[in-house]
Amino acid sequence: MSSASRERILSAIRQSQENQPATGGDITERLKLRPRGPLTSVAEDLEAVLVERLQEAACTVAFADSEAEIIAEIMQWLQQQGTDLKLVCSASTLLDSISWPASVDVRDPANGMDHNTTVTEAFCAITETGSLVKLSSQESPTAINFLPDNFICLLQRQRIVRHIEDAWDLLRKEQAGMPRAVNIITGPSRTADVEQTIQLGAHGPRRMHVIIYS
Amino acid sequence: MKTNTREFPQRAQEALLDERLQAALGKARGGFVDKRRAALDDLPEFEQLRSAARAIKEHTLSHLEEYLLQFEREVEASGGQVHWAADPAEACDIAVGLCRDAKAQLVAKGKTMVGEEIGLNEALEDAALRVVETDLGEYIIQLAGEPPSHIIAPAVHKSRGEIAELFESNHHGGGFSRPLQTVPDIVDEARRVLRDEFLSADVGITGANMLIAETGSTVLVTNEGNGDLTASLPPVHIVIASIEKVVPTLEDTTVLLRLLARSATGQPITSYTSFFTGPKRNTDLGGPQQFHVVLVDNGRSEMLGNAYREMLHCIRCGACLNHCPVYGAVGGHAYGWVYPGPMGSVLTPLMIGLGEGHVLADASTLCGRCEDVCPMSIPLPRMLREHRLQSHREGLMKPVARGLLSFWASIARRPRLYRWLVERKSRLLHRFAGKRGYLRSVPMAAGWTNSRDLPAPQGGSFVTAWQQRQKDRNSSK
Repeated sequence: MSSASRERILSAIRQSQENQPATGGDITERLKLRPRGPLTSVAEDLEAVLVERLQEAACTVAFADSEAEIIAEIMQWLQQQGTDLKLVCSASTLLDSISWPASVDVRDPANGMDHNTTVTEAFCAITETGSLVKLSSQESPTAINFLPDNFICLLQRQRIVRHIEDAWDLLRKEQAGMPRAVNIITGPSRTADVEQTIQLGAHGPRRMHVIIYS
Repeated sequence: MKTNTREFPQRAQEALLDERLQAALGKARGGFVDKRRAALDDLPEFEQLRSAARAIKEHTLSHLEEYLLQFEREVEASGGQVHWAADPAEACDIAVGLCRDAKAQLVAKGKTMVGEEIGLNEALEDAALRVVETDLGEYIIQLAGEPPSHIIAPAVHKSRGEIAELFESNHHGGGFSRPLQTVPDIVDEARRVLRDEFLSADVGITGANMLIAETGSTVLVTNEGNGDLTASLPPVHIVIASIEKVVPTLEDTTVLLRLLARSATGQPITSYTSFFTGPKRNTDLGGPQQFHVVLVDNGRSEMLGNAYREMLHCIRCGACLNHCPVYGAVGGHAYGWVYPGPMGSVLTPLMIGLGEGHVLADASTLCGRCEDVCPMSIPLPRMLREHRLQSHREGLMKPVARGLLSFWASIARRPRLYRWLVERKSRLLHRFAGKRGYLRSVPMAAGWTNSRDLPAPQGGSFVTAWQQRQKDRNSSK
């Protein structure tokens, strides 16, 4: 059924196209050149703009200059939220090197994801929109970005890009093709489906905390 | 899906008298319009993006076959499968077949308007599958047994009280605290109920805001994160998308993304913009084992070659609904099918037939606001006029309306006679209105004057005023 329909749809398209002019060059060229459209203007100081936009999107932001500071920042934030010290932590060079205090129960996502807090690292951040980019991988399944109440995301200062297109360039440079999932994440989950009132924590995280480190 | 488009006049009348609906619509109207305005004030590049977006769509449509084939190749290269469906019945058969192959019992669904268009839920339920909508708005209307009343805010017509009642009667025995009073209470309860469904679903079905030919990715834009859980937790992910959703590259996708959320909810970008490419990789810890894309035509390949081609530029932001005085007065359900508002009044007759849908094209003042706010500059009023012309040609108009129109046309073609009559009529109305300046009722127009007054002409016609103006100008030179 599907292959007959395929032919039917394609020939209907061809027929409709007969009297229509082709615009914008051919497809091989476009797929090769990938021209950028108009960009939005973004101020020079990327980090300052990013922090402002993250906060506008209801994230909290902190800074850390060492492994010890990262741990201290996470512990303090968890305490402020009054949540337990059970974490789901995806692997990355940085996160693997952290020696967690004995009081923290750190779980690898391979062993279950039902802890209330996720700690993970972003692929990069996009200043234009105040977003973090997460890629699915062996270490970091997509679900850990969406299941927990608290989403803590580390971001290396050197990985802040200006526009969405810059994130695509980085992706093409560093990855062999698209991973199963690329998530551009801009603040905690939200809904306005009840009387247009914005409520955080619809299905995904209720809180999102970004730690920018160098 | 059942169509009630023919009953638009009666349903619109009922909607106008429905106080709960009017309160809900009043609340929504301002919110959407103001938020969009504020977002565009922060975007000096809007017009540039708008023309770039148009050019992208024109280019893609003019190479639609090639881009669809390129998309198919890339989906297959990443381990997924593409299925082609010429009409709603085929699309439903494919989806049901995939669910059966997966021995599924429970299907979690993200919001898909194409899913509504093809009547997917009914088809899945007829095949004895349990279907759970996971977008909060869609979940609410699923409990209520209603179709969506807005393409991006499906339950915009429901008040908090009505939603609390629905939850009360559907979630009983769940150990929830009662009564549900605040918005957070309601959202939390839905989160708890739906979380279990996500975790036990056998198949996840989502729509797609775009399909990327370069990479074979499907793009999903949400705020709740329901679409991502639907796409990530169940072992099978099925994407339902119409053929005009394809765009060439990630860069082209980005141009449309800059317009989409701003035009829809006034956000620079939604909380989650996600790109799914193929099933989970061998090394991935999580994700679906199967990835299917069902490409739906349903009349679009024909639209490509007729006067409605530009309707295929639509990115489903909902701005035309939010700015339409008719939609704002009667809400989405009056339109009687899946797509309401100006875009719906153009699409519906094309999808369910002019005979069923032509009445929707008449329900417009052609004020042009929809075209003004459309991020893709789709000439919606022109297309509505096109439908009217066609329904006149096919003799679909009521004989009375047709007769009156022909009568009016015969006078309007005689400028002198027309002017003479208009002068007379406006003087007469002016005299009747007296000092008040308006008329409470007009013979044979009670339908109009029952709910409003008719402002009376101030004497004289446009033509006489214009002539007077020209005369004054010449004499003052």
